[in-house]
Amino acid sequence: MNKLLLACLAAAVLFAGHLRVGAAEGARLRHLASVYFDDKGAGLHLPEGVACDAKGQFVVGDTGNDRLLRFTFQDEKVGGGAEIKVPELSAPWKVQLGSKGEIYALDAKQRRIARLGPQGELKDVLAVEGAPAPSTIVPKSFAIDQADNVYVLDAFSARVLVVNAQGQFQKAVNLPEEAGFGTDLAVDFAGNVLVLDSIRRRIYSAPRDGDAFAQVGGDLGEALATMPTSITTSKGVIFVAEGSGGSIVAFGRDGSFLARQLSAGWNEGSLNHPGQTCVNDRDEVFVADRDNSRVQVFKLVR
Amino acid sequence: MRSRLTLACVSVVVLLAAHPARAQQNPYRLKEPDQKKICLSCHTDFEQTLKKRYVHTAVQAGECSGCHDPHVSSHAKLLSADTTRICATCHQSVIPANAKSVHTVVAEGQCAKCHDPHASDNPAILLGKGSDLCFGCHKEMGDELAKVKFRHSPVEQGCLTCHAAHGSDQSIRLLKDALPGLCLKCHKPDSPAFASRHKGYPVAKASCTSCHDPHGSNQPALLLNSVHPPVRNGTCGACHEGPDSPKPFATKQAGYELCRACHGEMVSATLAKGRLHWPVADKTGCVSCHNPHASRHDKLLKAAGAGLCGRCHADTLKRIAAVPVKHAPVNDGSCIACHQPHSAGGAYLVDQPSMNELCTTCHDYSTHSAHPLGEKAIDPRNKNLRVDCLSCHKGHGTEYKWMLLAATNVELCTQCHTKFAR
Repeated sequence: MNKLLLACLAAAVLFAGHLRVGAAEGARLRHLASVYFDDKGAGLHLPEGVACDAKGQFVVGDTGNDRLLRFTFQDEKVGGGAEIKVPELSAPWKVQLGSKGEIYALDAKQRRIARLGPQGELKDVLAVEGAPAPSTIVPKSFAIDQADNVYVLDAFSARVLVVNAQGQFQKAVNLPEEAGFGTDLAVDFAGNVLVLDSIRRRIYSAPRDGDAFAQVGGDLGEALATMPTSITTSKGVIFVAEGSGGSIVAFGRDGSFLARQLSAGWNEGSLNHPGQTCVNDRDEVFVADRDNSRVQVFKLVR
Repeated sequence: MRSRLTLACVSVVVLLAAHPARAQQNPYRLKEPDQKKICLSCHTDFEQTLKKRYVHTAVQAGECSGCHDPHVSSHAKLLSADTTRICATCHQSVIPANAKSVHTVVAEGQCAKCHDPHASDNPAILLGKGSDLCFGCHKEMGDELAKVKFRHSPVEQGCLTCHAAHGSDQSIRLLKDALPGLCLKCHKPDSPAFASRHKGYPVAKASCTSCHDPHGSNQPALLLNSVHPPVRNGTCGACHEGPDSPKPFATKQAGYELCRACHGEMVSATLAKGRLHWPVADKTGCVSCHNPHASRHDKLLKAAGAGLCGRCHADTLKRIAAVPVKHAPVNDGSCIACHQPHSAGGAYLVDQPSMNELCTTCHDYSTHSAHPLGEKAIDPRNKNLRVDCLSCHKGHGTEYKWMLLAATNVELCTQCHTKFAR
């Protein structure tokens, strides 16, 4: 009888352990490469932005050097590294890529979004025309959907402004009244908008055609031990980067905790105050590792 | 005959009734049934205590065994229960049901911090008179009130004018009524003088304590010590819509744009820098950290030092609290010794070109050691990094001496000098 109990207990412990490992492996990150220099050997300096696309291209917002860098990532090897520098763009700290190869970059100093052509030439600066008052807009972050609609997280009014590719205002969706501070946003494949609240440690979601945000799951305070800095999403998994914690924390679509990956440090595979994160169709994850002045590339093992 | 029979019956009833009562009054079958007398036969010094003006009812009744066990006890002073629980055996209702606030000492059962369990010359057998008793614990409040120029008259009458001693089912902070209702019991908002002082704004619906100190102040009208000039000058309309408008408390502009009208230079300088402290530019704007009317703290801040920063950065304060070796400014709660509160050119809201230059504002690192530091000292772990103070130390503190990142020098140095690692 005792032996039977012992066997049951052992089986239960093993099963529980398997579940935990399973959850972590649901979003495990394996280090592939680290990017330290441009194609001329000049080092990155406090990069905070990184965007990637399905063609294996990734663009780095080399914030501390007031420039963008365009790289390729094919067969787990980094190529390119050409500098894109325009006088109208300084301290690019969030970057996105449009469907036609345009580069969108949020200028941290002037707090405006610049749009560059595929060759890196400045096309224009995004002007949100027709948005409801107040006229002051302070973009904290932005995202782009597949139709090149731009979603601007306006810190000044705690709202998300949606403008189309031509810069015409589409709609404004206010963050919930109880929100602390919306620090970053992401748009998923279906057009749902996700906003990360760094103070309350929450994620809010608004459906593609919705006009209100609702909290995803519960408070994430236990999963996010330090102040989170950025959010991205891919194939139903939400990734949140923690600043001081140096981790990437994965959540399910319903806000359920999946896994915590990586930790703070300077060795390759560790992060020191990560900024923007991007996941491409090949499950390659690009992280702007700000305080290590590099970008790291990981493979997402689902 | 009939009256004799009645007398006999009454006597029998009285005797029968008296017997169990007497047994109850003398549960220990004492030779001398008056407990007080028998206890005082040894505790003679207690007689003086009993001469005091107010005596605990149980003591007055001679029920020493109501609280003390005459033979043995597991508790000090032969008490029948723990000191934190014994009073509640009779005084269960001192904390109101659905209390919104409870006096900490009451919640902890430390009744003897305020009351003498036997007798006192003060009402409610209190250990001291009026507010002086309160200031025994609330020393800072007592000291402050002793110094201030103007005291709120109810304070002179005693703390219990506005506060409940044990608990309140009406409000926070043991207040006897919710705010502003408590204030409006004395201050009549429909009086012409009140309306005039408040420029016609319907402040009876607002929070009085956002401008006034309910205890005392050095400012006239008991305004909090640091007053925003438009409040002092009565120019409420500089920021708010008119008192007769549908939303009289609405501000004329949102966020920092409102403050910009007067503090334009400061707002522009803040926005010109690359890294914003985001509360400056969010929906709440400057009033995320500053009180727009008046404050107890300098610069109209909502709280002092790290207490203010900790409202958002609680995780950082928690980590700092957990480490034994802290940076001196951190210990002093002076986050702004290193971080700019509005905006800065560098990461972590540091307004110096490098961490070394920041540290140099207090520490002369050039004489600190022979270790290379600065722009020419490339970090062997990563060519994009330079060796700076934070290569070996952590800015807030660590568990190791001198806020080092490792327990031993070998462990620390071999992070970079890997060939010496064993």
